[in-house]
Amino acid sequence: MNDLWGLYDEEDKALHAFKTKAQQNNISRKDLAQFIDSYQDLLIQSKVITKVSDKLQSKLNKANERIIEQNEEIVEKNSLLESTIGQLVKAQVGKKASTIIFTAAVIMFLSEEVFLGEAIAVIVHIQYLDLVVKGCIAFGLKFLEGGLETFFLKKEQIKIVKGNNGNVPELENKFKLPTIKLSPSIGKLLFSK
Amino acid sequence: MEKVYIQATDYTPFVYFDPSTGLIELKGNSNPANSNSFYQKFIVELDEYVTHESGGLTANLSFHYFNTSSSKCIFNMLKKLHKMQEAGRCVTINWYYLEEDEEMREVGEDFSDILHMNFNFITIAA
Repeated sequence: MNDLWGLYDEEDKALHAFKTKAQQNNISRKDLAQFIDSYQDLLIQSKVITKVSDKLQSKLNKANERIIEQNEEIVEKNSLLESTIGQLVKAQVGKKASTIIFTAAVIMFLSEEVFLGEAIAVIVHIQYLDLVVKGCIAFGLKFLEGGLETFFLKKEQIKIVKGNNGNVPELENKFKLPTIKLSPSIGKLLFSK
Repeated sequence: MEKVYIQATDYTPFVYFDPSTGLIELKGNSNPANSNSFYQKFIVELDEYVTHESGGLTANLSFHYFNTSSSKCIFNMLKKLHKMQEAGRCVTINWYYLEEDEEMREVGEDFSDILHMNFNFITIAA
């Protein structure tokens, strides 16, 4: 509060001097004229300071409105980004699981054809057993594929949460969030607190 | 008389006053917790200059924002410059503002109107 008084030191002095003279019944025309001048000066100052403050307040309000709008946009884009990343991760994981299952399927069907099929034909003599075994392998692999996808998906989720340098955070980096374009000073003023 | 050099911060402006060249520069945000004490050294040196020197002054003012108590300090400074001008000394005031910052231009116009002083309004590209 004292600092604010310091800001109006000259005005305070003028008022104090006039008050003292008034208490002593010692006011001349010159004193009165000086006091009127001081009062007029103070009034002009009040007018200009009020006007200037209102304009700067309006400037801050506009900056605030822009920030609110851009914040809403960021939230919207963030949710879109999250869903896109989710879809990309799923696609990536699905591709990985399919490759593994396809390789396993080729190996198992070749093995069945070369070793198991021959053994069934020689030892068991049951018609179509060969086909039943192949069907079981196919269903088993499909089931395994679902399990693998779930496993990889969880692994990727853990990677994202930990912020590792895996593929997914890299993908995330490709989708940059929008930048707030404010004048540097307003930005500093509003964000640095 | 000493040179005044205060580096800018997020809340306070860059303040430069060189009595040997008569150059004043105030730039940035002026939002100090205590405007009076912040500008005190500069105002004291300016007073010295106004009283003891006979040369003119050039003031380059480039604010992005200033608070109410700073506007009082700026007004006080401009009043001193106005008195110098009335005494026949050469005073140039350059009021810089960002191109899109119409409010800051209007603020400069308000100061200029109320003090009956000519300001040079200069836009800065954003």
